[in-house]
Amino acid sequence: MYRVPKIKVVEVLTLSPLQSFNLCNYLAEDLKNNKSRIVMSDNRDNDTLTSVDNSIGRLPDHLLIEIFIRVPVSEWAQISCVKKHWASLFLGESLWHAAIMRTFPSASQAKRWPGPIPRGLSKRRFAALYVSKHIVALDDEIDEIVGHTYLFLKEQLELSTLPPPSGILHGTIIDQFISCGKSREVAHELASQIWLAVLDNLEENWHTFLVLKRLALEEDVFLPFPYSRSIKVQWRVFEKLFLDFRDCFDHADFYDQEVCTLPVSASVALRVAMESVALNFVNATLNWVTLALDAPAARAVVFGVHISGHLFVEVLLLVVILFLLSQKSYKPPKRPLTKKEIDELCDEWVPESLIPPITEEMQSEPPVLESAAGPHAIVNGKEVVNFASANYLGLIGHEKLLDSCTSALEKYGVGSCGPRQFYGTIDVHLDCEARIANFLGTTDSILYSYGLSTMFSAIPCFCKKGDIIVVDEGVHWGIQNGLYLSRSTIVYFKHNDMESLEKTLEKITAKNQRAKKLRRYIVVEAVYQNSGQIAPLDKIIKLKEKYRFRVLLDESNSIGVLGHTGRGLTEYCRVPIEKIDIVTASLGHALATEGGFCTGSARVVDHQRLSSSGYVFSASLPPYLASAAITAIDVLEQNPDLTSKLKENIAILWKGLSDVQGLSVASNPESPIVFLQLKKSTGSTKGDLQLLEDLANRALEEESVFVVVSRRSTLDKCPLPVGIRMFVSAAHSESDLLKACISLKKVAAVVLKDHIRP
Amino acid sequence: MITIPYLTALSTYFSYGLLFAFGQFRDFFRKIFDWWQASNLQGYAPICLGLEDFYIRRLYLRIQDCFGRPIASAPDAWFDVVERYSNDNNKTLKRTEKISRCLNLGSYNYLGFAAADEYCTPRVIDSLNRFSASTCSTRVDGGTTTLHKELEDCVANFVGKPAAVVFGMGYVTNSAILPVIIGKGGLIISDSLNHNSIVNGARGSGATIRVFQHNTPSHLEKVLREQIAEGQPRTHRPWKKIIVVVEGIYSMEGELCKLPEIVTVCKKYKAYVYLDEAHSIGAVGKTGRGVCELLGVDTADVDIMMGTFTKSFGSCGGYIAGSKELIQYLKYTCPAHLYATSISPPAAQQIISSIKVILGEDGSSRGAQKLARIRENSNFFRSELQKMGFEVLGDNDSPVMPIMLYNPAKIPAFSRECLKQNIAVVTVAFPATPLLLARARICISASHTKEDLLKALEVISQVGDLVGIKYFPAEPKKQLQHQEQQPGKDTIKLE
Repeated sequence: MYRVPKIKVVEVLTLSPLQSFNLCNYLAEDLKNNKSRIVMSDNRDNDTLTSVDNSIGRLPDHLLIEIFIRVPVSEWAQISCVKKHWASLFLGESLWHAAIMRTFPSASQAKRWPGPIPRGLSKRRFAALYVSKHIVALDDEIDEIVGHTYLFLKEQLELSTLPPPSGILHGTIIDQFISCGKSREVAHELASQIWLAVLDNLEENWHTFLVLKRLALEEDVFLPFPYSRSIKVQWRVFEKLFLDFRDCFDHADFYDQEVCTLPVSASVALRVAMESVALNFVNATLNWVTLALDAPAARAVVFGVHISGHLFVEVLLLVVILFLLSQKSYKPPKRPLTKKEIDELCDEWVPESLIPPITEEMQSEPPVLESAAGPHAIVNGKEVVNFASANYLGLIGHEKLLDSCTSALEKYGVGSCGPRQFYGTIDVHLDCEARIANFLGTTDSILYSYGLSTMFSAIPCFCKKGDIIVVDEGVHWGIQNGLYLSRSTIVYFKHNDMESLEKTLEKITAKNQRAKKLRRYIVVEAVYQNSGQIAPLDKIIKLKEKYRFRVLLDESNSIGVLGHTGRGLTEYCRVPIEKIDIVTASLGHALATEGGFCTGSARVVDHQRLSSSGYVFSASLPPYLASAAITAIDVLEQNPDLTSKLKENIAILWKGLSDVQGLSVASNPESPIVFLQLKKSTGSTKGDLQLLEDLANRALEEESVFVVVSRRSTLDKCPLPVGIRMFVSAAHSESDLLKACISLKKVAAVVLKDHIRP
Repeated sequence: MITIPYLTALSTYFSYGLLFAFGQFRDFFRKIFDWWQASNLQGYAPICLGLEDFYIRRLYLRIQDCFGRPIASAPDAWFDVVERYSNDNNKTLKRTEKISRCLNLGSYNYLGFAAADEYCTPRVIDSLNRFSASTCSTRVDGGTTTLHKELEDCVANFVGKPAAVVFGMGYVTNSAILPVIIGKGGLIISDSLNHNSIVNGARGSGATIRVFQHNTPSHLEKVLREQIAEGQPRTHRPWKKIIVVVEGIYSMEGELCKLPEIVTVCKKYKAYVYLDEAHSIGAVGKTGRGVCELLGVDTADVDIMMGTFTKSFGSCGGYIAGSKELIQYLKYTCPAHLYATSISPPAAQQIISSIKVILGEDGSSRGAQKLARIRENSNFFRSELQKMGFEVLGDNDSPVMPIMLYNPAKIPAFSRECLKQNIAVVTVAFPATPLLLARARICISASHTKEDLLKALEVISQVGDLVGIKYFPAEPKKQLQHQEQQPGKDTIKLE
């Protein structure tokens, strides 16, 4: 039937490669055509076989191999059964190698790869390549590893009795692809395809059913992205289970599977689907953003720096941060009151009355004098002995003073009609200032138009915010106000208590290192108006020099009184006046005129002429009062016995009053102010005042002795007890003083009777 | 409001800058040359402080002779200015025996009571002999004489209030009353240009202080509304009370207070009105009763009326007039009443007598004549100055008329040149005015005659040209001549 050319072996062996190639093609074609016949007649017709054997049986192995590999793969199984020798050829390496070379020429160069999936021998390689091409139908790319993976997976699922969990298998596959340089997505995709292919090609037997069931129940879908089996694989598992293997379930088992697995799996599947969709979306967005950022900016070069995406983002962030920093910090939005609301508030507001309600004590009127306030005055038509005027030297009504006032009034008029700076300086003012300075031994002095304003103008002039003032707690209101207006730091010490003063000074200088750079002052009164005490100036000077404080001394009640010649506390304590930095005094006491003065160094005085508000912004002292002051000093200097007479009078009164019932003398024995205090307080200042006022009124009405109580303004912060204040005058006669003593004793016995007894 | 021309402001700043730099320069060398003398007071901080002291030494002392010129007579229409000389560049000034008779345009002698008066002086001397020059005692002790009682009644009657209390000094009146009537939790709304005594009193009171734009009732209303709505700072409690403090005539601006508007605003918002009539009482109004009379405000609407006797009455001291209860309360607790020597009896008598003259109670029409004269004089002088091109502040009828100088160098120039021609004017600079707004201030008196004023105008015009302070264009001469015919008639009529 077919003719095998009678070719001698020797001839074949000497054929050129092209000739032998054609020959082999021919023979393979021949073999293919006759194969069925050969197989069919396998057992009964030995003849045919023999004929085949005859035609190619004696060919050398390599030619046989060449022939075989040209036969389709599906027929190799039959061919291998023809002859023992041929079967052994199929077991050998060289046939498969040649088959690979022939069928997959590109595969021979493929490198090995790292990882757990083996490459195997040529036979296995051929199988792998065959699988890649025919079963896992990849577009063009036939990759050997895909086939190997397929084989590996199929073996794991089919052969092993207990295959590893599918997650591990899947992971192994993915890792393998990734290590071969595939991206995660491609690896995932390939793995899915391999899974599907394997699942499709599994044999339908009990073992497969068990494997599929196990796969359905496994929950490795929760693994992170590439390591979870794709949704398609999962579906294929269920599909196969419920369609192809449906009969394998017994009844209960099926429903168990359906009820338990399906919802879980469905939900799992849904979640996996959503997850992957979301992941895909995120990945796509990230890719897009990276691309978008990189694309325009990648080419930008600023100062030699390539601006890539992250720099761009950083700059953007910086700009945002700067913008936010530049914005004002958050404040709750203000909602101003509307006009109507303000109107309502204004309507609702009810002010307190301008003054508190008038009580009875506020209505009391002081006695009215019908004459000059000399040692004897007329009150209510009755002559009384006057202890209410600080007319220490008895200069009220002095002829020389009246004369000088009269001539001044005729020459200058009454008022000065202007502040000192603006034609309010009249030559008598300058004369008066010079006279006072001359009298006290200072270089200059400055006149104020009112006694009270002297201190409260002079203190703020030298003490400012931050300065430290140590002050006696018993100072009068004028000083208190000055301290308040100065806004300095004010520290009080116990009334006329040198130990307390020293302690205070020590504390201030020790505690406060900064104190050395501040101006520090001690403010004291020579004779305290509120108690009649005399300040121990010599001790104060020692302390002042020790702690380096300046001293402000108010000599209102001591000028013309203390000292041999009436030059005040400095003379009395034998302290040179230069040691005192600032001396103030009122002219309205011993000198029997009005106004005040301040003296000290030229610098202290000159500074006040432009800085002292009570001096700059007030009309000057009426000239006749200035001229009266000059005359008063003249009179004092010409009559040194005035002060000694005053001293005698003070001693008489002090002695006479030392044993009044219920009252004690609180003042210094040499003070012109004799201060009587209640031995036993009623407990309140108001009660004390009422009692004392009653006493004073009786003394005036019944005994014609005019004494007064030291009243306190509500603004006065002085903590000292109130009392009866008697101003002694040199013009009081001895009989006046004795009468006063007797009268007071008499009145006190009556008024204080109830107070002392219980 | 004063609007300072741009160029003038610049040159003024430049001048002060120059003075400052030069002063610092001198201080620097003084420090170097006197370094061995510097250690005079070891351990003491300097008693006079930095800038204030610098201002006095390096700026004020250079022109010291323009201020505080001593006089040797009563501050009448004409007075004797004592001549002074200096051997040490104005640091110290020495008086000479020489005097020059000058026309007084500086004293607050509005009604001419500064000089000896035929009605007042004999009574003043009488009361001096009767009560002596001082009581040496406070009002609550032995300082109240019948004279003081009479004075208080007289003042209350004159001002148009039920009661009054008097003090020996105008400055103390303000600074001691405010702390009594208001304290913590209260609010004082003060005009921005109020006198220093009010500022000090307000500070001493401890109340909160707010300022409204000078003489602007609309701004006052705004401040009032704001403050009432807001209440006290931090605690936001309602204010206890609100006192609005204004002056009748602002002494440095010559402006009349817009009292009717301010009173209306205060009434609407229930704030108390405190009126300081230091310059206006006696000087304005038909019968000299101050701005209330001039502007037609009922005195009952002004809660606290304060005034001084230094100006129109030619005396000293101040008063508070108000309701009986207010005065009683003040007498009970005001420190100036409790602790200060009572007003000198002759000064009290001067006030009583001068009020009697003003009211015609002395049996003559001198008071009315004085009031008419000061008004005529003021308005004549003001309009003439304005016509010459000076920048004159203030309102008609106000006897105070500031002429703006601005530049620091023009202060002594104007003052000295005027004095050379026997016109005594007041120049005002810092601290009485803001640094930039230096001015000359003219106070017209009823005792000035037309001749006096014409002479003064002539000199001021001449000096104004010399110094360069006519900041506005002058009006044509023609009207001046027309005006000149008028005074001739006036003087005849008045004499």
